[in-house]
Amino acid sequence: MKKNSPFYIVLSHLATWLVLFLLPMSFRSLEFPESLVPTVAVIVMFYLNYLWLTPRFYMQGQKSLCWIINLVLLIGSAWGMHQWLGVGRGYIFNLGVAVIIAISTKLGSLWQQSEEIRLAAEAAQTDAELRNLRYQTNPHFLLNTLNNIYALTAFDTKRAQEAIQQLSGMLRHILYDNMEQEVQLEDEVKFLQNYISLMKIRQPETVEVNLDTQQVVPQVKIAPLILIPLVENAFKHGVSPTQKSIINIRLKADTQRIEFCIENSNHPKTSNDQSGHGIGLTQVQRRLQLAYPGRHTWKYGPSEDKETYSSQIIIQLKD
Amino acid sequence: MMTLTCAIIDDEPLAAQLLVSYIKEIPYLQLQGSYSSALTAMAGLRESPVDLLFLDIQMPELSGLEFARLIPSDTRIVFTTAFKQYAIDGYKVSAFDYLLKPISFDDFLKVTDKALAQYFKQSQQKTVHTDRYVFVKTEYRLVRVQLDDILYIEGLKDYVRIRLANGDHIMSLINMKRLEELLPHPEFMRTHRSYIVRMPSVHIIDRQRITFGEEVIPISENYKDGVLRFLDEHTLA
Repeated sequence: MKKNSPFYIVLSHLATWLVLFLLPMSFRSLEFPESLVPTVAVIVMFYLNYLWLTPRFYMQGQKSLCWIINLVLLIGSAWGMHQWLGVGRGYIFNLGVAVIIAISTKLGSLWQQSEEIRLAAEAAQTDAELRNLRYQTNPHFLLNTLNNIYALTAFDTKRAQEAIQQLSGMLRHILYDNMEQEVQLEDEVKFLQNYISLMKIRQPETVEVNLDTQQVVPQVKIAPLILIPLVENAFKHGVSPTQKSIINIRLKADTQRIEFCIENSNHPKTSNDQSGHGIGLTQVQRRLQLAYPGRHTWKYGPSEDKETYSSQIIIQLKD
Repeated sequence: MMTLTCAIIDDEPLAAQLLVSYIKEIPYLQLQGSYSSALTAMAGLRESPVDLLFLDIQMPELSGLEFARLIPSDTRIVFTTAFKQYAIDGYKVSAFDYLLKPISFDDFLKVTDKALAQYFKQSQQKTVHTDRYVFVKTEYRLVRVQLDDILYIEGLKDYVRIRLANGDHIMSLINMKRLEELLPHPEFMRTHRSYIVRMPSVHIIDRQRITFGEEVIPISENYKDGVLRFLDEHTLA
């Protein structure tokens, strides 16, 4: 049974009234049915405030009007009951207590409601952030790769076919596995291999890329596509069309930890070409925080001679 | 046969290789060089400029857009890019045209044909301006017309009538617009939809018309400003 279903609310109200009226009160001296009148008066005052006066006046900023109406009703009803039924004058306090309980109960339940809404909004925001952080194929990569495959069809059909398969594999991984919380590290490695192989088509022979995944044990899982932005970055900043360029990637993994190292030649871009710089890396940082809170380290920076740039991520896995 | 020299700059080897293969297919194109970066191309293209440059926009180090401003203005630039937005930016640096990747042979040929036609027109114009005569086709023969002998040219329905100083006239099937482009300006000036006048041959001129002896050439509203400007520069007040 849900806590705020109508049935539960009605039941709790009934129980409260029952307890209340079993307690000894001043009107107990009255004969039935006159004894019913003060009881009903308390209930009427309660619901008048709970259902109408509080939401209509108190909550709309007209607090004093709410109190004045209550005061008139309290004095009027207490005086009336005293005149005609001989109820003790002190009964006005019983009515007053009903009023105060009604207003505070109402305010309390409304506060609880707004708190629930706030929490739900917060959860939705985190969810949206995760969705946003999810890796998206760079449209430039897609278009540039297609262009190169187009050219390949003219010179090397076999390689062109291979490239199309590699691209399909990548897209499949992004479309389906990307939705999972965790994927097999082997699938992730395959994805990186495809990416590197497609990028290599576009590079001159002066670019050397090495991917070492020999020390990866099977069955290790990782949050999907967390590493690829680093590889993209290495191609972006580590490749020169004229000078020799090297990218070295090493992935080690056992059931305890995953270690990812990437090192590339340092060919900084000219200051006026900072396209998309940094956005991918901020996302990596945020995703690491969400997926492996307190269980990851990430070090990056240029080497002392500024010849190379390296980045190292270590993730401690739960066992 | 006219030939156009051309060059390619693209940091992606395959993209360049594809264009090289296209250029080899087109007889009037002569490849001067294929470069992998703007920086390596700079010296060569400044020393011996090419007619047509196929320039990738998205390159590290120096982008095609920046490079376009650094080479001789005689070189016509065709931007090659995968991104429409870059192509639009290309027009801001007065590109001749752009080709969206992947580039098919047909698209490539269309652009080079267009460039050839423009170069042909330009070189013909240059020749006419220096040699000061043209051959025009009339009744299955080619007749040489000395520019200095022309009084005016009248456009008729499908042909033109070239009126000469010695009283003769020559009829020929040429388009008025083509003629106007070919003849030196402002020596030859359009005064009316149907008239091109050789200004140094004019005898008398007033606000609405030009007279050659008995003949009267009108000056229309549309072309009046140009004629008046010419007169301002050649009138003793």
